[in-house]
Amino acid sequence: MSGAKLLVVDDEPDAVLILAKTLLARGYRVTTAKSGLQAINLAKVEKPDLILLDILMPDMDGTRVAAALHKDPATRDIPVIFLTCLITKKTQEIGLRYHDADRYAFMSKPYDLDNLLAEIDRLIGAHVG
Amino acid sequence: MPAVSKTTSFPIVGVGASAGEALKGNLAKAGELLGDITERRKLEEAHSKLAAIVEFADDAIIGEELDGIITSWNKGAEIAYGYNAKDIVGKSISLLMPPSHPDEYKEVLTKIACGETIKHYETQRRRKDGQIIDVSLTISPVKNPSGEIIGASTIARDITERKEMEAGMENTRKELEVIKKSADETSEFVESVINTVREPLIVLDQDLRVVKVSRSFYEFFKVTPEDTVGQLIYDLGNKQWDIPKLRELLETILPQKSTFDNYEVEHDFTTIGKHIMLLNARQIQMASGKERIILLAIDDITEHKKAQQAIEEARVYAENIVETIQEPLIVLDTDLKVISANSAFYQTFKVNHKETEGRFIYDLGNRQWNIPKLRQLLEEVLPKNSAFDNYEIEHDFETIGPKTMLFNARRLDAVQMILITIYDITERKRAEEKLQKNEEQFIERKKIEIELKEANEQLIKFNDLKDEFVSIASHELRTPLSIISGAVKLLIDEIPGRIVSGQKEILDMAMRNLNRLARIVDALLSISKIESGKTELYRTDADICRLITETVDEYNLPAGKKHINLSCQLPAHPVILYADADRIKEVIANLLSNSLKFTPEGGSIDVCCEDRNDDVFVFVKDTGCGVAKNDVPRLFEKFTQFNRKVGPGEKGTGLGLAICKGLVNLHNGKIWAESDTGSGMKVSFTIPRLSAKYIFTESVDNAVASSLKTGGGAAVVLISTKPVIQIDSPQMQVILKDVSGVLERNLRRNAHDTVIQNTKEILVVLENCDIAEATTVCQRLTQAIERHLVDKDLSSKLDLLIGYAAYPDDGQTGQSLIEKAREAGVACLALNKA
Repeated sequence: MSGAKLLVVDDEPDAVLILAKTLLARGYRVTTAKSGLQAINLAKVEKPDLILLDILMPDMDGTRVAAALHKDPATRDIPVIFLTCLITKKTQEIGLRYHDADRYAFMSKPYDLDNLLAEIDRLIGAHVG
Repeated sequence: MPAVSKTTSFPIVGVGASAGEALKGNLAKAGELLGDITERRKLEEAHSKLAAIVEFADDAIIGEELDGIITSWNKGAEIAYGYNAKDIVGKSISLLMPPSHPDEYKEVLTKIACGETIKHYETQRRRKDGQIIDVSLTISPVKNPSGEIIGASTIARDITERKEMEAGMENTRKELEVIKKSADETSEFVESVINTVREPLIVLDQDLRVVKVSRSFYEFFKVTPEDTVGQLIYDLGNKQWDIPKLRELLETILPQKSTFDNYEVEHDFTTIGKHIMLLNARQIQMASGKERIILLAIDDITEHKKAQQAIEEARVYAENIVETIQEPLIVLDTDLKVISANSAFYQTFKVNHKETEGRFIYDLGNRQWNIPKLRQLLEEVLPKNSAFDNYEIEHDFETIGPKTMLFNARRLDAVQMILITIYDITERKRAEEKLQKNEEQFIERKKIEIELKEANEQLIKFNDLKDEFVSIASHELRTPLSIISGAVKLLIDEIPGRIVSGQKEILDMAMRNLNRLARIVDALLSISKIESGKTELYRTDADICRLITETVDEYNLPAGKKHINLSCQLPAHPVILYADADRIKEVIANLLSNSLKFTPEGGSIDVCCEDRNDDVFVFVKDTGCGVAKNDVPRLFEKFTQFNRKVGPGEKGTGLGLAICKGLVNLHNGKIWAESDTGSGMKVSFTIPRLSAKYIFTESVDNAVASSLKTGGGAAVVLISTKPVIQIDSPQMQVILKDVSGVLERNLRRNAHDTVIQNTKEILVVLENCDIAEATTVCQRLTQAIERHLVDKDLSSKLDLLIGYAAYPDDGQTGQSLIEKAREAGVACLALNKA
């Protein structure tokens, strides 16, 4: 959804850069964070429409960031798309825990851009709707 | 001795015709006594007879007067003295006197005159020829009738011969005396010998009575002379000498053989106990007559025998030892010549007595014993040391081949011998070497084992590392891959700026390969996990038909694009399997993807599912190019390509079928392919239907294992509904499904916690749940189900059995927990009814 404000979180600067450029090119407004903690703070301040959250990060992994966001009423309702390179039992369990399909989505990296854009629009739409 | 025998004849007073006068007086006296003429005549007759006797008697009969004048001379006198009667009558008797004593006749006549009679007076007389002869004279007085002594008559006998004999006798006597003396001395000597010899001696007469015994006999046999001498030998010492062998010796052997030596007799004497004696017997014929004496020497050899026996025993013992010793043993003299060897020696060295004994040791067996080390041993070592042990010699013997032997030697100086024992340690040596080798091998093997173990541990570590590596690598690969993909996509989308058509083609190609690389990374991760057994199945009751339909739907679009007819043949009813739905989908997707890739435009792909009793059978069949028949078995290997022409679209990873096989196998199923060049490909697989018991047990075991890891508990709730009235099976299934729905809603847990088995029992596995929680959950579930049954008006038609069991309180294994829960359910129903 063009004009929507997205928060891209990844400890890998290049990954952040490419995704940000791609999304910007599609008309989204993009804020970036390079760590989990920064993401939580930015989410409170920026109140993005959706967060693209990397799971494996050094300081604090994506699931803990999501849990922190969920605890805070200010950020509780922001939809999250988990991006991960690793499909493991652990990520599957996370998937089960966050099985509210209207609030959470999983995308494996490397992602298919069209699928990603479709998920972004679906979640923002569902949230707004 | 004739002389002696002659003297025994009585001397008769001879009366010759010429000597008649001299006898007148005696006859007259006799005539007077007779008194008459007849008597006289008789007397005269007697007188003439007497005269005849005198005349012809062999003896010389001489009459003489008291003064020595010869008055009568008979024939015998003529012969004896050589004088005729007429020559000598009237002459003096002195003519006959020997020169040595000429007046002897005077003394004799004086005695006669006194009335004496001289009998057997032996003296000498001289013959006419002067020869001196020995004579024996008996001289009697001659009386006249009035009794006066008027003369003498002499009867003489020539005893020269006798005398000579007597002289010889005397010599003999003297000799005998000497002999007797020496005999006495000898006897004394013998006596002293007899008494000094230690061996008891016994002398018996021919009647076997004891004549004499030596002192040692008394001492030895503890008897006294009183009980011994004169006794029959057998009766000695209370008949203890009545020994059959002695009897045999004395009564049988000796009479035939006068000497007998070393006759061995063993006897148990009452006084001195058992003794062994050597009897030496001599039978001596006494010179004096038929008398025999027996000399019996008794040599007590008991001790000797004992000693000998001991020696013999020792010898036999030693010999036996030597013989029985299994090691070869050889005895040498000091010149190193073989005295003897035992049989082990002969056997070991394959030689015999003949070629061994008496030979120089080095010469034995064709000089094969001429061993320098043995020489050194015998010639240098042994002279300095009386013994040595374990002198090892290796030698290649002609007869028995190479041997290693241990030589032990003893120099026995007392008997001037050298004893050598030889231990053949060839086998031992070999065994030792082998053992050594084995030991080395064992150590080596142990080392290898340890290395292997270490390697294995390392491998496990590596494997863990590999898994970690694969998972990290896939993450690490995906991250840059994702960035590159994003970047290429940006370029393709011309966001940084416009690109020309040639550039776009290249970027599209890059994009395709990036996607392919991403798929390979995924596939690698997947196969790695399957191979390492790290892939865990999340099995639930899954409807295979639905899984197939969903997957086929995903491929409808690409199939349509390629004008490929994609069709399904599925059973009308759901085919429920306890399986990992995502994995089954992955298998079907892989097979469809392959078929789509290799099937040319206008072809067809069929997917078929059959519900069978024990398993579910699925196949995907296409009309593609297929592979050569002999390549079929290799289809499921990793990274195998078969030069098949691939149409446009996604390229494969080379891992698809390998992953399919791994996943099917994880479900205990089978997968196989049928194909030939140009005739398409059919890949089939089966997934077995697992038994209720297996599924229940596995799900509970998993929960127990998981709770072990987390340290929490686990519990199972088993629900079964028994129809009280007739309820048909489909209806029952609907009821259970409803109950299952009730459970799901009330559990607030994930679906895989619930299992419906055989439409009769429902098992709820509660992970991380202790017994208290389990009780609460069970109560809540019971209430919910009862409410549901009341709502559906089923409570009167069904009996509800709900039981639960918790780990570790009620059981340790899935099976025991399930049984406990089932029992609890039955007990609970009984309680409710009551």
